[in-house]
Amino acid sequence: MKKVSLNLIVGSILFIIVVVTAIFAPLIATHDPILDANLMYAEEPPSKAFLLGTDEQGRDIFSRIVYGARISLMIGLVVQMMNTVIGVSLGLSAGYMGGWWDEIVMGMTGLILSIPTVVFALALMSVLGPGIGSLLIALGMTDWAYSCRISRAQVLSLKSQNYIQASYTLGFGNLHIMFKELLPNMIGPIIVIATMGIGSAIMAEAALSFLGLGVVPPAPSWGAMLAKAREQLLFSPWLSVFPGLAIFITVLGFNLLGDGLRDFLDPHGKAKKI
Amino acid sequence: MTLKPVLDIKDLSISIEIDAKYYTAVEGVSLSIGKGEIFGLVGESGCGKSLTALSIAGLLSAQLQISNGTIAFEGQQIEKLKTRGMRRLRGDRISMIFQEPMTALNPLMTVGDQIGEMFVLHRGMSMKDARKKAIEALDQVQVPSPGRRIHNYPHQLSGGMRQRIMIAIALSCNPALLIADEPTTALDVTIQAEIVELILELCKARGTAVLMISHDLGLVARMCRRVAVMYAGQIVEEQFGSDIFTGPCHPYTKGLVGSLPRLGGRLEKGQVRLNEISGTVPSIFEFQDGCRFHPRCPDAMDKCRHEAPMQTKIGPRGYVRCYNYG
Repeated sequence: MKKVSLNLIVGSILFIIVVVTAIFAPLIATHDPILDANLMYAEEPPSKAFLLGTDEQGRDIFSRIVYGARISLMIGLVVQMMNTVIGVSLGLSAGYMGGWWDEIVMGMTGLILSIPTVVFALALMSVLGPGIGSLLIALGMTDWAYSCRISRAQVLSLKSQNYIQASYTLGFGNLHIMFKELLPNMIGPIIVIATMGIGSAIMAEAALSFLGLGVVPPAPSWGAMLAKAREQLLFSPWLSVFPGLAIFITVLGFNLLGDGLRDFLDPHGKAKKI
Repeated sequence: MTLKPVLDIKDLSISIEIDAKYYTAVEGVSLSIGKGEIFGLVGESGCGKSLTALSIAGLLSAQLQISNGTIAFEGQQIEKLKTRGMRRLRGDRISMIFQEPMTALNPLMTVGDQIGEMFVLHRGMSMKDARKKAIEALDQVQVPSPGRRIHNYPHQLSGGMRQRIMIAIALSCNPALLIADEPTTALDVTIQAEIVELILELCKARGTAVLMISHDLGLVARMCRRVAVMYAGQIVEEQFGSDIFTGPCHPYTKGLVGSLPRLGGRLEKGQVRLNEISGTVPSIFEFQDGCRFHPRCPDAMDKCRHEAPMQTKIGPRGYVRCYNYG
């Protein structure tokens, strides 16, 4: 029997908490995240009425964090999906075809890796302008290097497998071999990388929103909440602590889940910890 | 006197590029296989028999290339075919069976789908019809209850069963030529005979020619009509299978036959171990002038050291590369 690691259990629990929160946000939230502004209650500390306190416009922080899970998760999933599609198709074709195409793809990957994601996205965002749409494009186009490298490496090792060789001798075409023989056999590591990628996409969203380039107010984004709270860090710490905690828990959850999945999917059972 | 050959290789040479230098891995190989004929190619590891097979299927990797000679398959010059034309032949007219049935099937697809794919690809059938044909094909390779087996994944089957499935896949489109590259090496001895019988029986029924590649001289001599022996990239002798044991000509073949243990045979007086061929196979970097075998040959003459022997006819269809004949 496969041993289920602690990482996998904790990661899954955190993942489920975040997903459930995002789906049932209207049921869980105690206030409306945007409309329930009341300056009478601005910057109240946590109390019975406002579980995690209120922000500078008197909006309930707990409700904003709950709704913020939707935005973070949506951005994380969409961005990572874009990254995975780009990375896997480039890596798969590069590893399979080799030659000049491989050189070009590996060159681009090196380029992407050499520039920090947030800096790259920042540059793109300054051209595209703030907003969720351009945020998705900016992040979705800049963080595919890992999935690209992983899938290329997978292809290179799978290519020497007998059943891949056999499908050449049986007369199957390149597309068939790439998508029906290679892709299904390399899906494990890709899932792991994608899971961890969701975490870093959420981080990147928070970072960009913190810098004022991501999600536009008044939409409740954890990063934007942090940015607003920065000035009141000393006097109203709950403004920044709780959104920060939400980011921390979510990203930790995805990373642990990815780690646990890697150990779980690894046929040898003892992958080295990175 | 003979049928028009399915496969006709003339003077084939394959060279390998290592560090921008070319070395000849296969040199001057000629062989022709008639329709439905079983042809054996024997030789030790690295003598070039697998390279010859790969070149027939057009599957030489980038650093290998055909430097000389022609390969005609059903009248078509294979070495001139483009990728697309070659792909149409592969699996349909030319099929291959490998030595590793354990890893030659895709672990994530049911065997039914893997056989069925062949009909979809080469016959343009629908998946539903292909599945019916897959059951038929499994039945032909004597897999019990094929209707249930098509839903199995490779890991649920034994090695012999997997090799049967490979055979079913390879023969699914009634190829004109089946290349069997050591089809039984990885199998249990008890299964080996069964599998070889099965291959031959099915090929006979379909009129499929077989190029059987092996290092098992006994197996090849028993099963094949004609046998070619390869040494260091050259065919040193070609004979009828039945003659190779009784009348080996080339010193290398003689050495091979002489080194086989015989059941019930007694050691001659004073002999303490099996006969062997002294020395080792030269690597392709250090081929010397003259006959490739001369450093190890017990009958080597002065001439053998300087000039490579040409092919000399022996018998009605055989030939040998040795100065001791002709």
